[in-house]
Amino acid sequence: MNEWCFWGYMMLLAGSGVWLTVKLVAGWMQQRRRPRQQLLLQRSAGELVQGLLEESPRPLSVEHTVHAQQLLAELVASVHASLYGCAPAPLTRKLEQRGVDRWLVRQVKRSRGLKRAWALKLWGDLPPMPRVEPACEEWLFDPSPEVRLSALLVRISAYPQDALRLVASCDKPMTLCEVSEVLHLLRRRLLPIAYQPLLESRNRNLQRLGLLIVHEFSIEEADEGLLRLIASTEDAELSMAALYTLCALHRPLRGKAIRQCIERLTAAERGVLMRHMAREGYAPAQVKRLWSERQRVRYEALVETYKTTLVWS
Amino acid sequence: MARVLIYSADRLLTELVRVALQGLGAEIRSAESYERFEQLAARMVFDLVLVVGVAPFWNGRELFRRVRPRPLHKPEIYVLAWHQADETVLGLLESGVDQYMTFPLNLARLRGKVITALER
Amino acid sequence: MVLIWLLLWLMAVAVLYGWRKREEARQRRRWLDRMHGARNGTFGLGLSLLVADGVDEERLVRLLGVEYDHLEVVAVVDGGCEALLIERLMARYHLIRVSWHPSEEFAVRGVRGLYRSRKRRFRRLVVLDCRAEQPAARLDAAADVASYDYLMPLVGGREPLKGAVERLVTELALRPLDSVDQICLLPTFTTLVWRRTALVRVGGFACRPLSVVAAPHRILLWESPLRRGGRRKVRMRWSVVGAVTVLLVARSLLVGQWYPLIVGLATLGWLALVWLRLRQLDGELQPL
Repeated sequence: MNEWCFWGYMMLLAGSGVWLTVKLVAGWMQQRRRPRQQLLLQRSAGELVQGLLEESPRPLSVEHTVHAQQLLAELVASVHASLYGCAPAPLTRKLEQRGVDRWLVRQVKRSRGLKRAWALKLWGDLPPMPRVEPACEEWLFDPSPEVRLSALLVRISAYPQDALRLVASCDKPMTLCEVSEVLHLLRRRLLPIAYQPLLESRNRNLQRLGLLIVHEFSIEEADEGLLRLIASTEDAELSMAALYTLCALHRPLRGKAIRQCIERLTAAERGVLMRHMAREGYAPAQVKRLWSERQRVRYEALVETYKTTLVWS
Repeated sequence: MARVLIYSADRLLTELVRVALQGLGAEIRSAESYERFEQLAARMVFDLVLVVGVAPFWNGRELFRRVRPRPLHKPEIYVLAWHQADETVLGLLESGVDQYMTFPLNLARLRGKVITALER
Repeated sequence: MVLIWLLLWLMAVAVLYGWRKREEARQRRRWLDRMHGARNGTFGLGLSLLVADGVDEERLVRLLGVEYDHLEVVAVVDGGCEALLIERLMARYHLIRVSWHPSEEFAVRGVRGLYRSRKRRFRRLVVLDCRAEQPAARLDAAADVASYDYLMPLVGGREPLKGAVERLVTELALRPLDSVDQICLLPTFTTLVWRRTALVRVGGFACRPLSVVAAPHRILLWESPLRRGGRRKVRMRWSVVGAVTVLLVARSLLVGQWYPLIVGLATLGWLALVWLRLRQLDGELQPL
C-alpha cells in the first residue's frame, strides 16, 4: 500500500513538475524576448503607418522575429483600432502575406476555453480577411460564453450588415459588455444605425442596443422612446436602464411613467437612483414630485453634500 | 524650427503620432514618463504639446505649469484619448487644453491641425 | 501512515488546482484586455476606491491617474494628525469644504469635514476628514460618501494594478446588471469589491462577508488585481509549508528512513517550481 502511494505520488509530482518546468522555461524565455519585441513593435508601428500614408507597403521589423504572426496580428489590431480613414485592404494584404489568417484559424481550432476566446477576439479586432471565411458557426454555440461572444464579434466584423439579425437571434439577454462590443464594432465599420427602430423593437437585445446608442451619442431627442421603455412593465431591468439613460442625458424627469417606475422600486433601488440623480446634478426642485416627503428630505441632504454653505458674517 | 513634444506612456501610439507628423519640418521629441516630460519641458521651449491620454490632467500633476512656465510663451496643448463623455471633454477644455481628439484618429486631420497650430 | 499519504495527496491536488486556476486567470486577463467598453467609457458602471489609510499625495496621484471614466477616489484622512496634508490636498486639487450629512446607511462617527473639488477635472477626488480609529469604521465613513454603486476598499497600502480597474468593471459588465454583490479573491477569500446595497445589508465593513452573500451573487477571482500589500502573510504561508516539509526531511535523515526523505525532498523541489511559476505570472502584472 505504502509503495503504491509512494509511486503514485512521485508520478504525480514528476508529471506536473515536467509541465511546470516547461511553462517556467517558456515564460522565462518570453520575459527575455519582451523588451526586444516591444522595440520591434514600436518600430513596426511606424513602418506600418508610413506604408499606409505613402500607399506603398513596406517590410516590417516584427516579421522576422519569434512569434511573428502573433505580434503582427496584435500590431495590426492596435493600429486598426487607433486609426480611421485608412483603407483596410493594405492591412489585410499584409496579414495574408504572412499567413496570419491561417495561423489564427489554427490557434482557434487547437485551443479551448479562454485561449480560444482570446484568439477569436483578436481575429474580430483585425480588418476583415476574406481569404479565411469566418466559418465560426460552430463556435457560436460553444459551451463557453466567452467563446460565444468572441465568435459573434468575428461574424459581425466580417458581415456587419448581419449585426442586428445576429443580436436579435441571441436566445439569452445580452449583457452590457456584449452589447457594448457589438456597438464598438458597428462604429468601426461606420454603419449608420437608427436608434428609433431599435427602441421600438420587441426584441430585448435590440432594445438594449438602442439604449446604448442613445447613451453613447447623447441623443436628447430619444425622450419618447425612453419613456415608452420606462412605462413598460415587461422587463424591469430594461425600464431601469432606460431611466438611467434619461438621467445620464440630463433630460427632464417628469411624467406619470417615471413616477410609476420609481414606485415599483425597492427602498434600496430608490437609494441608488437618488445617488445617481444627485451625481448627475438634478436639483431637488426638478425631481421633488418623484419622491415622498421623507425621500425629498433625504435627496436634499444628498445634494447638499455637493455644495458648500456660504456663511455671511 | 518648431518643436513638438509627444507625451504618452504607450509607445505604439507615440510612434503613430510621430510618423503622422513627419515631414513638417518640426523637431519632434517624445516622453514616456512624467520625469522625462519634466526634463524636456525644463530644457526646451515647445510650440506644441501632444498628450496621449487624460491621466496627466486628472491626477494633479502640474502639467500646464511645467510646459507653460513663461507668461509670454504659451504652447498649444492637444489631447488625444479614447474618452467620449462630455464631462471629460469639458473638464479638459476648462483646464486650458486647446484641442481634444478621440481615437480612432484620422492622421491626415491630425496633421492638418498640427500644421495650423505651428503656423500660428 | 495512510493519513500522511492522504494529506500529501490532498496538498498536491490542491496546489495543482490552484496553479491551474491561476493559469486560467491569466488567459482570462488577456481576453479581458482586448475588450473595448471600459476604455471607451461605454459601460457607465461606477467604481469608488475607498482609501482608508496611508493617504499621501503620490498615492493619490497614482490612483487618480487611472483612466477609467466613472472612477472616484474617496480618501479618509484624520485632520487632527494630518491637517497639513489636508491643506496641501486642498491647494493642489482646488478642494472646498462642502456640507456633510450622514446617509443613515452606515454607522458613521467622527466626521469633521467633507471636501470636494471645484474643478471639473478633479471631481473624482473626495477627501473625508474623519477621526475613526478602526480601519473598518474609516471604510464605512468613506462608503457613506461614495457616489458610485461599487466600492473597492484599499487598505494596507494596496493599489490596483495597471488595467485592473478596467478588467474589474468589465467582469461586472459581463453579468446581468445588479446581479453581482461582491467580487472576492481566492484562495484568501479577500473581498475586492462590494456592491453598496449589499454592503449596507450586511452592516458595513466589519461584517464577515462570506457568510452573508449568496454564492450566485459573487464573482471569484484567482488573480489579484491589487499590488500585494500583504506580502508578509503570503511569505508566511509558504514558509509554513516549507518549514513543515524541511522538518519531515530532517526527521527522516535522523532516523534513517529513505522513503520519507525522498518524498520530502521531491515535495520541496516541486513546491519551489510552483512558487517560481506563480511569481513569474505575478511578474506580468504592472503597477500603476
